[in-house]
Amino acid sequence: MNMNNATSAALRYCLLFGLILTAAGLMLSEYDCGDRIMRAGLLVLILSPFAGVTVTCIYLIKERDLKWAKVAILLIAVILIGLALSILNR
Amino acid sequence: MDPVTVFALISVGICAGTLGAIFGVGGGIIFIPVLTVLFGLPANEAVAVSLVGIIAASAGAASHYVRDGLSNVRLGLLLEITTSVGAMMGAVLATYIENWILLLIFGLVLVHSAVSMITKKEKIIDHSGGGSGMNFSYAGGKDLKTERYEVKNVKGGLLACTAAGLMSSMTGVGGGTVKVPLMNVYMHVPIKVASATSSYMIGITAFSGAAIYFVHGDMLLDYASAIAIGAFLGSVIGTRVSKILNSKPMRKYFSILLLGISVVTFLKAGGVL
Repeated sequence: MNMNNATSAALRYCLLFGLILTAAGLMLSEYDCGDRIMRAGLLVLILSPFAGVTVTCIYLIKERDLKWAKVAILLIAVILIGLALSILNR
Repeated sequence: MDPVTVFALISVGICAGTLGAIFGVGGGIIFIPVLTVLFGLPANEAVAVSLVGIIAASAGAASHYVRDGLSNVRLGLLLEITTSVGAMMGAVLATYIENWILLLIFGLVLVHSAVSMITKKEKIIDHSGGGSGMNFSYAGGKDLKTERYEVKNVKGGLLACTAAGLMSSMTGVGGGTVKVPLMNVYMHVPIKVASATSSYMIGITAFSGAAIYFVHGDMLLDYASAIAIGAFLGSVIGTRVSKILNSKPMRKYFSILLLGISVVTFLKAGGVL
């Protein structure tokens, strides 16, 4: 599996799993468990772009494409720093 | 939530997701006015739901485009670094600058981008392995032949992406509307690659915002779920339509979309929306 296929698979499976959970939660919204299932589904769905970047980074390191692996690591660091600052400042 | 509202939200998601997948824009420009005006949501809740819709549409479209080699993942990662830095700067600066001034500037940038895309011909540079070292190829040219292109003006593009991230986090209007013309006109990336790469990028940009709303419990779960389902379905439709669209009309349609979005931006600046 190359980098593009792996990234695509990470995006697709993460998104589909999240969507299945949110759809199930939406159908069960009358019950107590509905909200919890929806919450879990949305969390998985929200994480899918980050999962894509992480898988890309892993493949770039594996393929010894170090120039672009550094770019991916820097992006992950920027995202995590931004996320931490926003959560702490709120 | 009643079934009619669920159906309406899914329909909104389908429309925004389709447009987003074809042109590489997030769909926030559709989601936010519809959710606030038609569904009566407060602005912050509409933004949170919109971010989930953007992620669903982006990840749905990008999973196709990345697999088919249309999204330039490496270029997307690089430009996303400065976009994210710009978005962080924007979050700090937003309190110091009047929102209507930003929206006015943003609207003018969109008009300029639309005019550039109409008046300037698409210029693809092929150095076949030489040049700046930013040489890529994609299988999406005429008759799906592999076409090579060299990304130009990388430093200027990175700087412009900082501005795009800054503007989008300050105004709430997505960065895709700026990044696609930037990549296509200034960096000489083919329009199909530019919009597919933008589709990949906007999900990453939306991730941080959505995660913050989620962590703080500010997310309307049922609205976000219905919008996400619709946006994903729209992205499936959009990627199919994008495959049959040629580059030339695509640039024209994108320009029309930009002009439409600039009108909405001017209306928001004037306090009408």
